[in-house]
Amino acid sequence: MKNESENPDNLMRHRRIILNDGRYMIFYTFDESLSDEAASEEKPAPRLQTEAIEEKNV
Amino acid sequence: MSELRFNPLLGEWVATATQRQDRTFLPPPDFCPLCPTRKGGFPTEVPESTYDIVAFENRFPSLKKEPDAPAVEATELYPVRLSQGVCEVIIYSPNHNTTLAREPVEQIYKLILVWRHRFEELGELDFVKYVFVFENKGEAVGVTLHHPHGQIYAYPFVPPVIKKELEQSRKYREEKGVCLLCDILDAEKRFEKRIVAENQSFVAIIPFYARYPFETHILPKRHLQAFTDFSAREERDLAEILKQILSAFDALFNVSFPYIMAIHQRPSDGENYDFYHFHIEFYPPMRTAAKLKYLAGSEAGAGMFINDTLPETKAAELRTLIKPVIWKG
Repeated sequence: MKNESENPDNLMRHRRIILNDGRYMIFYTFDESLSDEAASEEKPAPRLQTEAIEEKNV
Repeated sequence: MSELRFNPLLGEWVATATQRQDRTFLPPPDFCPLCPTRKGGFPTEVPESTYDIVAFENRFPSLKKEPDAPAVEATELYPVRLSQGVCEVIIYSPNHNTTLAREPVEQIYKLILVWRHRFEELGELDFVKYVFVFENKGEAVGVTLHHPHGQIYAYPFVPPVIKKELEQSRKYREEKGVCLLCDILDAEKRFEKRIVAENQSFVAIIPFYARYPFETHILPKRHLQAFTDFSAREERDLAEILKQILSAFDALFNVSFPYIMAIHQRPSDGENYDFYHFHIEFYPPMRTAAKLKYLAGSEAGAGMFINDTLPETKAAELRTLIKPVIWKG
């Protein structure tokens, strides 16, 4: 099951899983072009998209 | 067992967390619990390897969302409360053999975006009054896992150091009508000798009142209270100045420089803290290549730090090691 939604305009994503003991873990991934955006002083910083929750037995 | 016990003599809470006695202590690199789980390898705490940065609840927390029942009864003399809060670990990279200082500025920028997100999300929890982002780096400050990581404690109260800063900042604003750290920033810019690095949005100084030889503070030029107030430009500029300071630290004695990094932001209790000023403080224990600064009698027992050096001298040393930052883009 993959609940992560795609948003081509967004350079950052995060995905939350629930571990067996009930703790959450959030994986943050960034598009490669983030560096270009960050290096450009004119562009606004990207914002995180709404998270999706994925249950997982870990 | 864990609870918060009140110290009536100091007016401060102390957390007990007996389960932390069993936490992993300096494992060999092949058995690092913060590395991603590899195919055929032992299962670590991180079951996946495709990520830039990971945040998760600490396996050995001192504060929990659903805390244990206290081990003792509260009395009028000794208040006790649930140790409700959140303790997170933030893994900076899947790579075990790196540090924040060695990471490219792009990775530090990503971390700032994650810090902002964690500050926002944890600060929205109704039982959280303060979100504290920090890093303990190096065995000299008590690190038990070498994989590059920081931590976040979401406290159910405003912790005492922040409380004291808030009180001083509020008092100064009431008396002078301006922000204390804005005035400190102006004074340091006029004096110049304690400035280590500067860019369009931030200044790094070894402050007039430094307690450690290389205690470095990073202050935004704009009067900001939290990551959520930052502009895009300020997020980039913070990444740059962090990269410069961390790299200069490592170059001081040609070692991976130990430090405590403390990020001081406004509380998350819904009150107005417009008199407060965001800043980052580094407390490095090394005073020379072979000597550490310990918290001894005066520091630990009386609260008065003794700095064996002059901030002006140490700022000059660190300033010579500041290098330009280059973005890949």
